[in-house]
Amino acid sequence: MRRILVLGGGTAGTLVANLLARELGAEIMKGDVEITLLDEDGNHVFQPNLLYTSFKGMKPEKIVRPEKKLLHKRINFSIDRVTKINFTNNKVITESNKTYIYDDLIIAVGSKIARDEILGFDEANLDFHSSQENALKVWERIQEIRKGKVVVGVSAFPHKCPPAPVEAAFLLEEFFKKRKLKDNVEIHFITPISRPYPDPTISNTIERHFKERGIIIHPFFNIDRVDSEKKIIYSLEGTDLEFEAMFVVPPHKAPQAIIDSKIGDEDGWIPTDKYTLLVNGQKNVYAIGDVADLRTSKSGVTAHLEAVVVARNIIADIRQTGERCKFTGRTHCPMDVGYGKALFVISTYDKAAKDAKPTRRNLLMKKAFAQMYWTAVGGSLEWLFDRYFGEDARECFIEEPI
Amino acid sequence: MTEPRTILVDCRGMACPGPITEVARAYRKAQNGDILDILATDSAFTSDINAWVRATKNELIGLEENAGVIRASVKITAKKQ
Ligand SMILES: Cc1cc2nc3c(=O)[nH]c(=O)nc-3n(C[C@H](O)[C@H](O)[C@H](O)COP(=O)(O)OP(=O)(O)OC[C@H]3O[C@@H](n4cnc5c(N)ncnc54)[C@H](O)[C@@H]3O)c2cc1C
Repeated sequence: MRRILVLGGGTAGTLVANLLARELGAEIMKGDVEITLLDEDGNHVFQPNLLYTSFKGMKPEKIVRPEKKLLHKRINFSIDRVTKINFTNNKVITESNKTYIYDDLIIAVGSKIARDEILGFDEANLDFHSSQENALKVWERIQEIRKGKVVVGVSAFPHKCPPAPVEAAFLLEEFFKKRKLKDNVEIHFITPISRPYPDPTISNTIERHFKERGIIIHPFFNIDRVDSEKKIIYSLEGTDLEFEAMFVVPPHKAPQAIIDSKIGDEDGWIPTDKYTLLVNGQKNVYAIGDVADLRTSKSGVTAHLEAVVVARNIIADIRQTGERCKFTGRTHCPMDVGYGKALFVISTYDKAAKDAKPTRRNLLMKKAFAQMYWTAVGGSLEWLFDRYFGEDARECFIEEPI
Repeated sequence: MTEPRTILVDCRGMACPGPITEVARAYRKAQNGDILDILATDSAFTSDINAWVRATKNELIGLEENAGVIRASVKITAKKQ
């Protein structure tokens, strides 16, 4: 019996488990393969829509579904938080004190908000990254703002969804403009680096749009601490910024179980082979999605494409077909620039992003992807994604027998 | 205050999201006196690190390119601590 254990029921974990369960039906029925997925809370949030709860008032209950309903019936599912992972004896321990032994382990526990990283940050800031409840608080707060500086941007790298801070700036500008408050409300974008987006080409486009729309950029602004009473953000570079409201993307780290298990770097990101997605030094442990320390975006699309690579490699190994797939680092990050338009940031490990123009068609595509999400994590739309991404997403070949 | 350290920031083979984001990450955790020893292969890195050092007022103590690898050494001197 080959025991495949998946940790985390988000984008990456749900898809990889479903792809395996769909394809390995015969092996599972015969009792040769078993698939188990553990998730800490049993709810699956479609996180891209947190942006629309925060800045467009989308109902939070629309963006969450029970994980169990998204999983193939051949998957054993438990709601149980993982607390320890031990590679030496192939064991995973959970909060309820259960021990799971695995033959293949797929770690897909995503990322968490590091609330205590910056002094005063959490008391002053409202974030649209962590939950539907917090996203709703952002929506409620922006209704009250009549004047002053609204600060958005990045507190630290890496964080999930690189376009999200920029999207927040664009959607807020649209929000205040439509309410005729633009003369009284200023939008300020802070970032620790020289430009609003890490990729220079995309950044140029954003800077142009920021300028046109009066969004003020503060480059090289590393938050040191925040005084929530005086409403001032202090930077490590010695500059201060007063604010009326603050919606900055908080620092991220890996879930505590990864840090406690000492299998990641100091923030818990797991050192992972960028092509095979095997955890460095391991032959039967994969890290996919946000938790992996990969030189690509922490995004749902990359999590999805990584899940496919791992599923295909495990299936090939079980069936001894000799197929091997490598991930290309492909990103496909939509960026909503407001007023009904979006652009896509498309790159791979080897190809930097090309300049992209915001269009209405792109926003429609972003919305179409969102509509398809719940079906897509079930694993039945791979024929469509294969057509869309083609060979840009993975390189597959048959390994010659030695 | 702990002893100054040399912190290796290896960004070789990294184009997106870019070595400069790794530098910003290491800077958050560094203290005055520490040295960031940064390796990168992204050609935009030279101008990025120059701009970063100028703006943050830290000290660039070395910048060289060898066989496509750019090595920058930055002494952290300007953090408000
Ligand atoms: C505001 C916002 C907008 C975004 N927009 C986009 C977008 O437009 N396009 C895009 O591609 N991506 C977008 N993303 C990013 C995307 O949502 C994430 O990168 C993606 O969900 C990562 O997938 P994952 O499976 O690694 O992690 P997640 O989907 O976060 O799943 C991790 C799972 O692990 C579980 N877990 C955590 N710890 C434990 C534990 N100890 N034990 C058991 N289970 C655990 C959690 O409950 C969760 O179910 C956005 C994110 C945000 C916040």
